Formats: sequence, structure tokens, C-alpha cells
Amino acid sequence: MELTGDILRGHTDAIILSILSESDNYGYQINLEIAKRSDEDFMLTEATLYTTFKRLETDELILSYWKDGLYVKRKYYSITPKGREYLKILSQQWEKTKIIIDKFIGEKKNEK
Amino acid sequence: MKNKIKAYVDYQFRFDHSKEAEDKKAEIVANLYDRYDQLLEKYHDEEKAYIETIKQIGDFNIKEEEIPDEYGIKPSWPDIAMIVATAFAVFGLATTVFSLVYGSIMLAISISLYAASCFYLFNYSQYVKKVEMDVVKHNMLLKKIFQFMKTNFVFWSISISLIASNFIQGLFSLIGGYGFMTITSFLGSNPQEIIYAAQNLIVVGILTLIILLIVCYSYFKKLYSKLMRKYYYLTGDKSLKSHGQMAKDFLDDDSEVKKKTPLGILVNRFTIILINFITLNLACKTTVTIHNPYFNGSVVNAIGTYYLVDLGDNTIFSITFYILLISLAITNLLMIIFRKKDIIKILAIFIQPALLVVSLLAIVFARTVASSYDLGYIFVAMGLDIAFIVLFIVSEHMKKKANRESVKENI
Repeated sequence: MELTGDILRGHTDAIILSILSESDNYGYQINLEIAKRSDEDFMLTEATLYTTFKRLETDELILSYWKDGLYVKRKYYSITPKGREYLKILSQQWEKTKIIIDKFIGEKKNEK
Repeated sequence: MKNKIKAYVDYQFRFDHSKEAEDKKAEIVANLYDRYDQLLEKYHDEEKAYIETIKQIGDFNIKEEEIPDEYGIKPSWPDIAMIVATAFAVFGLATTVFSLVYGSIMLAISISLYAASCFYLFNYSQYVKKVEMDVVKHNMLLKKIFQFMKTNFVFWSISISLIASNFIQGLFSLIGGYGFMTITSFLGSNPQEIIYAAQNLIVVGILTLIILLIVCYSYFKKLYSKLMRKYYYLTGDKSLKSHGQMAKDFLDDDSEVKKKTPLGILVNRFTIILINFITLNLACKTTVTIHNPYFNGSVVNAIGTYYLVDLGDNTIFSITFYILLISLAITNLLMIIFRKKDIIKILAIFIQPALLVVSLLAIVFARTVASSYDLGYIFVAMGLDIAFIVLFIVSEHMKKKANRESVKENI
């Protein structure tokens, strides 16, 4: 769904950080996880994935290291304490946003 | 099919010369391989899996062969004239070593072409500003003038000082005086006196060359700073890069910041080439004077003329210098081409003094006429050359150390 994709793309940082907060992971596996949790509706392109990693790494929210895979070397990412802090802030922000949006178009508006 | 994926990614990033490009490509390729495997399992069709995988790449905002703004102006004759003027400035300097007359002509052509191009470009830029009111085009036209200026000024200043120093030597030999050779005095003189007089002329030659080099260089440097201020006043552009610098940046193409050490500024490849050039000049001159035709009794105006192309009465000298000249050129070229490969660079650096020593030995063994103290000048010049090469190695080492430390600081 186009629209859902656009909204989700605005939250790429939060999605990636939350997956990394569970365990260290590499690009494709993270993308698979996103696809799985969004019922195959949503998958990031390599470009979005790479630029997000790059940005998060520059902001010291994640770290990267190389690890030998079965056939190729893979670049793994892990979340830093600063990243966890940031994820907490993002999730608080999301809670607030959800409440506000609900007041306009969500279930809570219908309840009134 | 996986090779095709890798080739596609390599192609996408073919303009990315940064250090992280390799890592970036490796990471993307690894992800795409996984994607491909998964899609192949799903579709059982290699072609379809490949296309779907490539679609997964997305948009990296890769700029396809970006064409700079300056190409927005249709090329005209000053563009060619500027390049020809610079080529004449460079080759004119080399020609001056062999022939003052041809060197001077080339210098005159170079200056004339550059001046004419500047006149045209400047007037055109003012017209564009006033009539077309196009400031971007105005700035581009002015930029064309200034991009060639530095290179031209450097070569002109060396050429002019060489020509002027030869002129002064000519004056000395004409005026004569104690210890200097005159047209009338060398007739009937004994060879020892001629050697003495020739040596005095060489000393005058070296001194005038050094003084004139300093004077000319300072003058052009002052003129350049003045014109650069004018350029800034006209365009507001502070970050002008010469064509030479742009070419150097393109060849270096790594984004790491290079720290300049004081020694590194003083001792660089240019200084080495300059010192080699002076060494050669001195060595040629000394030898030429020693084995000039006066000793054979024939009267030829030989002072101020280099006999590099004369294979006449003393072939061994000329051949030695040919070898020296070619070897210096080759080793310098090696240093420039393979400057990123340390082993070859070091080899080139060590071959150079070795060749100088071999050439010197050849001269010593070949000497039959003049006495040994004439070689003093060659020794001094070679000593300077070797000292500069050593300094060059030290400065390179220091530069590397400084770079390593700055990298550590950044981490």
C-alpha cells in the first residue's frame, strides 16, 4: 500500500533501531524482519537501508562490524547505549503522536 | 547471475572514488545475493529473480557524468590560446636550456597568447555583465583567465631569470676585466688562464641565476596576489583552483585531509626537479667550458652556449650528459607516476643519486684536458641534490606520520 509505505518511511530510524535493540543484525535480515512484521507489505530498498545505516552510524546511534558469512562477508550492526536512549525518545514521541492523530482520525474520535 | 549483480552494483558506483566505496559495494552486494537466493526459490526463474533483485537497489542519487557549469559557455579561440600559451611556457623553459634564442621566442609567444586571451576574456566578461546581466557567465569567463595564471607565472619567472642571467654573463664577458674572458684577451692566452676566466664566468652565472630567480619569483608572486585580490573583488570567489591543482586533486582522488608540514612545503617534488635542473645546468656548463673549442685553437663564441647537442670533439662528455638527462627525466617521471607505490618511489629516489655518481665517475675517467678542481661545482650541486632528496624522504615520512596522527585523533 503506497500511503502506508510513505508513512512508514518517515519512521525508518525507529523501525531499524527497534530491530537492532533485540539483537545485532545485518542489512538483508533486518529488511526481511520488516517485511515479516508488516505482513510482506513493506520492504526498504538498498538505497534507503544504506543511507539510514550511514546516518545512524554518523550520529553514533549504531555501530558496525564485519563478520564472515557462509559465502560472503556481511556487515553487522549493533545498537549503542546512545541509540537505545534515542529509541526511547522516539517511542515516547510516537505515543504522543498516536494520541494526537487518534483525536482526529483514529478510533478515539469515533468513540466521542 | 551473481556476477551480473556485482557488475551492476560496480557500474552504479563507477564514479564513486571514495575510500568507503568498496565497503559500501560489498555490503550492498551481500544483501542483494541474499535477496536473489530468496527470489530464485520463489520464482524458479533466474532472469526474473535477477530483475526483481536489481529493482530492490532503489535510488542512490548517483549523478551520471556531471557536466560542470563552465561548459555552458561555447568554447572559443581563447580557450585554445590559453592552453597553447601554457604549453609554450612549460616547453619554452626546457628549450631555454638548449637554446636561448628559441627559448626566448617561445616565451614571447606564450606571453603574447596569454595576454591576448586575457584581453578578450576580460572584455567579454564585462560585456556579459553589462548587456546580458549574466553574473554566472561573467564569473566563469574570469575564472578561465585565472586558472592558467599560476602555472604560467612560475614557468615564465624561471625562463626570464635564465635568459636574463645569460644576458648578464654575456655582458661580463664582453666588458672583460680582471679574470674575465674577453673576445680579444683569449687569443694567445694559455689554457690555464682560459680555465680561470671561464670559472669566474660560471660563478657569475650561478650567482646571477640565483639572484634573478629570487627577484623574478617574488615579482610574479606579488603580481599574482594582487591579481587574485582583483579576482576576488570581481567575482567574490575565494576558492579558485588552478588547472594544475584540479588535475592533482583528480589524480589523488582520496578525501583524506593532508596535513602540510613546514618541511613538506619547502621540500617537494618541484624543488627536487628544480635542483636537478640547476645541477644539470651547472654540470653541463662546467664541462662545456672545460672542453670548449678554444683548446683546439679554433675561435668560436662558446660562452653562454650549451654543447649538449655537440658530439664533436669529446663525445664521451656529451653521451654522459645525455644519459644523465634521460635518467633524471625517467626517474622523475617514475616518482610522479608511481608515487602511491612506496617501493618504486624509494627506488626512484635512490636511483637518482646513484646515476649522478655514475655519471660523475664517467666524467672523471674521461677527463684528459682540464684539472680536477673544476669538478667542485658539480660536487656542490650534486651534494645539494642528494641533500634535497634526503629531505624529501624525511618530509614524506613526517607527512605520513602527521596523517596517521590526525586519523587517530579523528577516531
